[in-house]
This record gives sequence, structure tokens and C-alpha cells, in this order.
Amino acid sequence: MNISISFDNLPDAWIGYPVRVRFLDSDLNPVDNSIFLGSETHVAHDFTPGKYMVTIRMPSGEAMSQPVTLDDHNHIVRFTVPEKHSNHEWLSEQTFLGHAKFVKSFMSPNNDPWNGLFELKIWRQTGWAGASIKLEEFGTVDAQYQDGQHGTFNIDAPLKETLVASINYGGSAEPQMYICVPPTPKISTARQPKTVVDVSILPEESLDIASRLKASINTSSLSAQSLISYLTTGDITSASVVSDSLIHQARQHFYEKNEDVVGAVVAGYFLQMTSNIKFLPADWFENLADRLFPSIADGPILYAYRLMDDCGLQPTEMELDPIAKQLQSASARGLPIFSRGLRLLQDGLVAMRNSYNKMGRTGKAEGLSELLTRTSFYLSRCNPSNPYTTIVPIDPTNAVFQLLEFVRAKR
Amino acid sequence: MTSILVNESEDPRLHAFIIGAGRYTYLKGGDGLPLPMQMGQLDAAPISALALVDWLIREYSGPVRLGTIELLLSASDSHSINVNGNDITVSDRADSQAIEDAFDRWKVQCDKNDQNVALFFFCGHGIEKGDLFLLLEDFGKRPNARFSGSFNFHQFYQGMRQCNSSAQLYFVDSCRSIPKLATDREVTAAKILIEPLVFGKARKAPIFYSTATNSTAWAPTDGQKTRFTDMLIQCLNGMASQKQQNRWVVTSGQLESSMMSLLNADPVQGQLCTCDGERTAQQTINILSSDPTVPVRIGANPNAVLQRLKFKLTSALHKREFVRDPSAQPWSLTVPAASYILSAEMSDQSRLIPSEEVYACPPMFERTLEIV
Repeated sequence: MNISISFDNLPDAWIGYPVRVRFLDSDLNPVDNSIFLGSETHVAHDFTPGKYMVTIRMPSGEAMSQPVTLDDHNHIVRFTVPEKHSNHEWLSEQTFLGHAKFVKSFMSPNNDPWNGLFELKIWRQTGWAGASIKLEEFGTVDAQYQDGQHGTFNIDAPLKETLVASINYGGSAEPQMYICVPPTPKISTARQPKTVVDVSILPEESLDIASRLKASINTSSLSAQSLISYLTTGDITSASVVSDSLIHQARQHFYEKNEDVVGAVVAGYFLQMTSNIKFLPADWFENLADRLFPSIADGPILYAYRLMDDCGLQPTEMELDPIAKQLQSASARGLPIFSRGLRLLQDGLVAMRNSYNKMGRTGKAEGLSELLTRTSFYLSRCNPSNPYTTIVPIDPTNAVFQLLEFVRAKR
Repeated sequence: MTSILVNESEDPRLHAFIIGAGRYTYLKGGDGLPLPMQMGQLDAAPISALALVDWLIREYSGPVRLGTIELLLSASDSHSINVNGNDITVSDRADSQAIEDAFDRWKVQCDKNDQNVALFFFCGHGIEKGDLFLLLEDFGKRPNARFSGSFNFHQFYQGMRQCNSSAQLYFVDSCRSIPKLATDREVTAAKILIEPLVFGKARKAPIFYSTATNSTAWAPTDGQKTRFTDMLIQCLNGMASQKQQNRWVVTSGQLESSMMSLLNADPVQGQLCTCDGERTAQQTINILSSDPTVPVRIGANPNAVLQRLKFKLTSALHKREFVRDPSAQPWSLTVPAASYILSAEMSDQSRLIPSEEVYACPPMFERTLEIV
């Protein structure tokens, strides 16, 4: 029999995202599958007739359930999407507050810098009346319009590289927080050509400076976005279910030279996290690191881990050297897009230093120690709870300025 | 030495390394000169560690049998563990002297078979600055190297890639915040239990943290175990189980989903359970001998109608019936996992409410009836 799932009230912006659907039979045996959100989606599974509870697990962590009795006929299971969430909030928080160097392939399918409007959407506890933000390249920008606590800033300029924005709040003349606005990921022509970055500022009495700012960025890879969201909410079961489509896409993208770097990187991290990095061949990672995206740090980090996976208990110097080269390359490119990359960079450098020391190559070990000191500095100011690299100042009067100087120097 | 040797054979076994650091000599309330920090004594830490030890000895029923337990405990009182009728006094303190030997003994056991399951549990204070440092009883003993009374958890986790056990489970019930003492120093000289090396062995090694980065974990002061450990044990006992080939099993992936949904649905003071590490959903941790029980909550909208609603849950499988008379509160009960017929009846017979089939499946089941 054929089973389809249909959604009433489905916002256009949700169409195409993979989500997990679970069928529970009356003996409570689960069958997991993934479907792409749409008006009527076929479920690829051969069900035996009987009673089932169908549950859609959204990337935000919310679940919708419907009972259904399946006989020998075709069935459509209908869900009504609740209206309480906005288009982006259902995907859970995704934070980008870090540094990604400009790369052409980030911009548009034909590698031309994309010219035109980009939109910065910032959420502020006390609204935006009389408030403004300052973008390094464009000076002070007032909110063009407000929607409750959201202020929207339209900037009519090409977004070529990471922008540094300062935010003043609480009546202070001095900036209290800096954010780095990433260059837009690859623009999908079918979607609105805007980068939407949401930054939330919690109440000023909050002492936890790390949680004052929340930024989210919508990538154009729907599978990557779903996967990040499931991982952010800790739903590894759903992440595994929807990862197939992303890994398939990533593999296809690379062999077809389609340049979806965010999707490729997310697929790489997911495979590393699930100890399945060998699922993709080494030349896939080599492409990611050296050929297609020569400017992002995440590529060589993942390539280094792919090479490590080939090492045995006693790796030789000849096996270690290419790994060291990738980690050095990553360090030279600035901070990785994803906070998991920063963690892996640190762990990789520590393991490499120890392994060189163990085989008596102290000179090579010392060479990595310098990189380790710098990575440790950023890691100790990074919030790994956010999927995107998020730097928070431990000492707001000092560390953030050092950090931004580094960001500028790397451009 | 506190090694609880249930079975040292080289067959696949679960080997546990459990640390409950509750007494801190150089923190508030300790016997030494206290450090200028807010952190104090944690009575709940040894209680939590002992609760998990007790669960392992009495209730654990995984795909591999229990092998050994290394236990380090810093508590106000002395404790003993009863294993097969013999009382074993817990003698090792959770300090920087004992931890190295205990770790070495644990790793020797874990290395004996690649089908072994290595389980690590820590309850105590933690400081995270880039890496997570887990504090031991003598933290602060050396004024010039305060972190020598701690160990680097991240490097320990990475170093354990060299361990032969293909399945490794890590539970960290500690704060992950950064006090001023840590921000003063870029480098912290914490103990390294095993040096991470480049080594390519794949492993299933989820880490369960009781709280998120930069956040505090809270511990009760009334003699109870921590909320994280309490939920962990409940989940292992069935709240994180799902049916696989007619057996109810707790897998690492299901444990992760259930712990997070149960703890984070109603977080205490913003404490959110998080998970990390190299992980898949495939490692079976516990196999239940009977159907698990499921917390059920049935309410109505509008809430006021509850005072006129009589509920009934009927299970054909278990041949059982649960009934609740009208009451102002939603109906909360625990039932064996199964599909049920839920019936609701207005006491004044003013409306007919159709019965429906509901699935009470772990970790919990909630239903709010819309009474139009």
C-alpha cells in the first residue's frame, strides 16, 4: 500500500526540509523514515496492514502525532502545523558569531560576488526605537522597520566577506558586543536572495554574557539545516535518519562540482561524529580542503581527521606529516565556520604534538605547540553549545578587542 | 584500593570507573584554607556515584555482563558496597593520588576485549575553559598549581581512543562554568590521565553532560542524588527504552534523546542536559526483562472540565484497567508500556466523548483532550 503524509498550514519556507517520521505499531515497534516536508509526501516503506501512531519529529524538538489504521488501500495521513512558531524559530537556534573568510564559492553559483541587498534581522529585548548598529564597512545603520522586538536592517551593498558589527545597548556609548556577520552561503535562485541573521539580546540584567547574543543564519542547504538543528537539540536518532539525504547530496555535489560548502562541511562533521568518516573517500575530503574551497578552515580539519582514520596503533612519520600539514593549513585560514571544527582542531593538534614527541620528533612537536597556544585561546572563548563558531569575551574590556584584531589581520 | 571485582574474565564485560567527589578540602566548608571561590561541598556527589554503583550491581542487564567497578569516593562518611553478600569498604578517595592508579586498573580491564563496554561516571565540581577540568578532593592544595588537583576531561576522552573497548560511555555530572580563578590563567596544569595520540580506531563513545557549556549544574543538599543521575538511572531502567525484535532495550541514541527531552522539558535553574562525542545510535546499553513503565499525563482543555471527567485506560495486552474519578488536576499515573483504549466520560452525561487508542511508549505519554 502507499502512504503519503500531507500538511495543512505548511509555511512555504518549510517546504523541502527533511524531517523524521516514526510509525509505531500497536505492539510499539518503531519504524523510522525521513520525508521532505511538502503538501503530499510519499513514505518509502512497505507497511503491513494494522494500526499505527505516526509521529513527525521536527528539528526544533517538537512532535506531532496522528493515529492511522492502514488496510490494503492507499492512505493519506494529515497533519496540521501549529501556527505558534515563526518560519525560522522552528529550526531551533543556529548561531553564527565568528569568522569565516571571504570565499567566492560562498557567494553565487557562477562565482561572482553577489551584488544587492542583504538583510540583517536582529532581535532585541527592548525593541529598536532609537537604537542602531554599526557595520564596519557601512557605518551606522538604523533599523528600517520593526516587528515587535525584531529590527530589520537593509544594507544595499555586496556582502563580500565577514562584516564586523558593533552593538550598543543599555544606553552605553561604547560598544558592548561585536558580532561577525558571515558572508552569505550559496544563494539558491529559487529562494529569496537574502541573508537573514537573527541576533537576540537577552535582558541586560543577565550576567551571563555568553547568552546575551543569539544569532541564527539560514543556509541554502535544507538538508544541512535540518541536520544541524537536530544535532543542536540533541536528537541524534533523527539526525541519523535525515543524514542519508545530506550525505548523498554531499557526495553528488562534489563529484558534480556543485559548490555547496555548508552542506558538505555539515556532512563531513556528522560522519566524523558518528565514527563513519571512512564512508566518504579521502579524495572527497582533499577536494573540500584544497581544491574547491581553499579558504575555509573546516576543510583541512576534516581532511586531517579522514587521514587519521587510516592510521594504525603506531603511525609512521610519513603518515603523520600530511595530517600535520592539514592542521597547519587550517590554523592559517582563521577560525572554522563550525564550533565543532575548532574543537577538532585543538584535539588534533594535541594528538599530533604527543605523537611526534613519542617518536622523538620534538622539533615538529614544538612547531605545533605554537598553533596550539593560539587555538586554545579561541577555544577558551568559544561557546560550543552553538553549532556555529561563537566567540564570547571572558573579559569584555579586553579579549574581544584582541579577537577582532586577529579577525581583521587575517583578511 | 576500591576495585569491585564482579568478574575479571576476558570475555566481553562492562567495566566502570566511577568518581563521586563530594568533599573538597580547599573549598568552602572544607578542612583547609578555602580558595576565594563560591564553590563548596557537594554531599549529593558521593550519593549519586553510589546510586549508580548500586544500579550496576543489582539491575544492570546489558548485552555484556558486569566485569569490574573502580570507585573513588570523597564523602563525609565511610561507605561500603555489598557484592554477592560481601561488604566491600570504599577506601579510595577521589583525589589526585588515587585517580591515576584507579584509571590504570580500569584501562587494563577495558583493554582485555574489544567487545568490552567502558563506562565512566563523574559527579563533582567542574570548570570549563576550552577544555573541561574535573575537580578532585585536593583541588587547590598547591597554591602555585591549583589545577594539579584536577584532571583534563577532554584529553582523557581523546586519549581513550587508544582503549581497546569499542563502546565507551561517559557521564559527566558537574558544572561547566568559568570562575574568575580560571580566567586569570591561560594555561591550567591539570592532570593528564592518558595522553591523546593519533590513532584511527572508530568507537561508539557518547558523552552525556548534566549541563551545557558555561553553565552551572545544581546539586540537592537534602541527601538525595542529583537530578541528572536520578534521571539517568530511571532512563536505564526503561524510560529510555524502545522495542527491538520484541525486546525492550536502552540504546545510547535513545538514552540521549530521552535524557534530553525529559530533563530539558522542565529545566531547573536553566540547567540543560547536553550530549557530545563520537556517537552512533546503535550501542545497546541495557536489556529489560519486562515491559517498561511509562509516566502518563492526561488532561483536558478547558482545564475546568476535569472536575466532571472520569477517565479509563484499558489494555488488552496486559488485561488491566486504570480508572480515575473526576478531579481538578490532570491525571498522572504510571502504566506498563502498551497501546491502550482511553475513554473519558462526563459525570453528568452532558457530552459523549469518543474513545481513542493511545500508545503509552517511553519516555512518557501526554494527551490533552479537547472538549468542545
